Amino acid sequence: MSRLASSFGVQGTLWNRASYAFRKAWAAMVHAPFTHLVSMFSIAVSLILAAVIGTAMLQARALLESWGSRTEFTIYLRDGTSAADGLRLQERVANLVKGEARFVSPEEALRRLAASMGEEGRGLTELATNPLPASIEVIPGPEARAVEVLQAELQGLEGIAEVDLGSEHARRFVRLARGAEAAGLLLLPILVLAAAVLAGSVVRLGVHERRREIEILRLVGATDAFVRAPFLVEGLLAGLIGGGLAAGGLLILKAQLAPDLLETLPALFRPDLASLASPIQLAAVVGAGALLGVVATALSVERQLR
Amino acid sequence: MIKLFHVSKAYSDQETALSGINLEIAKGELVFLTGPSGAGKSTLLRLLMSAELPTQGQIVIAGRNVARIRRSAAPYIRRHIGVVFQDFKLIPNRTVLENVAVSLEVLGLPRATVQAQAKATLERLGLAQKLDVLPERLSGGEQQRVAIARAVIGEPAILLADEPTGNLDPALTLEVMDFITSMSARGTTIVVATHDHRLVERYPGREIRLEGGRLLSGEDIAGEVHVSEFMGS
Repeated sequence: MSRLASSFGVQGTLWNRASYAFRKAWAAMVHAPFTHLVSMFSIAVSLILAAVIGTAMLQARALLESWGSRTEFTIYLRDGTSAADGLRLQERVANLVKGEARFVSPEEALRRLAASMGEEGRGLTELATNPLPASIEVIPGPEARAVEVLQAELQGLEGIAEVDLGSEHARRFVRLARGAEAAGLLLLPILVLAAAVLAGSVVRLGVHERRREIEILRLVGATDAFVRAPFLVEGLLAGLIGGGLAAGGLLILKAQLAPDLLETLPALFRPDLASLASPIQLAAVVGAGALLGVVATALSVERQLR
Repeated sequence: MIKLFHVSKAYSDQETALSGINLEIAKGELVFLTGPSGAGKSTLLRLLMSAELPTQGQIVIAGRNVARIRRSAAPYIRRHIGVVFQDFKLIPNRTVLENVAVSLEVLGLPRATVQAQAKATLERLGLAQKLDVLPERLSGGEQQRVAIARAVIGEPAILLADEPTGNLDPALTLEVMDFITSMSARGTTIVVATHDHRLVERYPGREIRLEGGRLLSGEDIAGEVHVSEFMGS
């Protein structure tokens, strides 16, 4: 060590080195604002997309799970089926599905429909004829066979018009949700990788531009860690700012765009906006940005300085 | 302070820069490394500053064999050594003050100390008015003095200077050499590579002459000087 450094008794504190790294990183960002802005925005855009896709995937999965566990279905009875016949069928069906079955008369079905429609449903109760059929609501027991098998057996019973396992729309949605989940799983790593490559490229460019400076630093006694530190801080700052921009973007998306977008979607497909930009998710987005910036920079700098 | 045992450096089978160098330089000694272009002076300096490793032989600096150190240990050796490069090696986008400060920044010293020490060193070299100037705005002589300031700011145990007065006028040459040799009096070991024989004659140092990558003996040098004088060059 030089005599001057020795006279301080220590070889320098971590604080001094960190302070140097932050000053140099900030100076580099101010010196080349455009390339760093590109890096920040690429991180921000990829994080926004990742957050939206991730949220949609989680919600689709939750919906799929709830649909998967919901095995109840409805049997519609032929027109003119009496309440007594309906109750007899209810007993046979309950035995067949080894679970619960409940007869719903046309009158009860109409009352329920009117209640679900609120004010607008009042007129329904004044109809001259009831258009709704009698039905049996079925909840198969844990030992029942698969609903598709039960459907075939129930369809053969006298007095049964239709066994409805769920609307075609709902099944389409399940397929759509599964497809979206698979696409999300594929897209997420591609997005993150693309942002990392772009952020890493900006750093590689910086290392290339400053190769003479790096050579000189090494000749005057800089360690690899000392040379690397300002670049890592640059990556950290770019990631943090990119993450901050992404968090702001998600808040704007939630406040401005999402309500209009939601209007165009059926209730079933509407995502839960509260979880899209919750404080935890916003913090996670900023943290992910910082991590992305540091990791992409570390990999790039390591290769360039080798 | 510095010992070289059978040191050779070859860049390829055909290109041998240094061959069988044996040399010992004492602590606080002033040594002039002379010889024609391509004699191996710069290569020898690069070996001493651990910028390159020898192909053969041992180089011991302050008791450590720098020919066999790990790459990661080289920076710690270099911190003992101040170097004035022939092409100055100043960082173009940093001011004069920042260029000089870098030698202390790598040590992790407090910023205020680094700034104060850099200013003081630049003042001693007559550059107090140029602190915030970029190197490209300086004359060759001023750039040379910035390079010297960066090399000496940490008060290194060893100072290596490759043609330190090559860009200076005669008056400034003497000023800079007085500054450099004054460090020798304070215990710094100094190796100056130079073409300027007047420096060798003026300052009380030992001359080590290289030719074709080989070290000439004292007698060889004396003979050559004699021949030069005889030829009237």
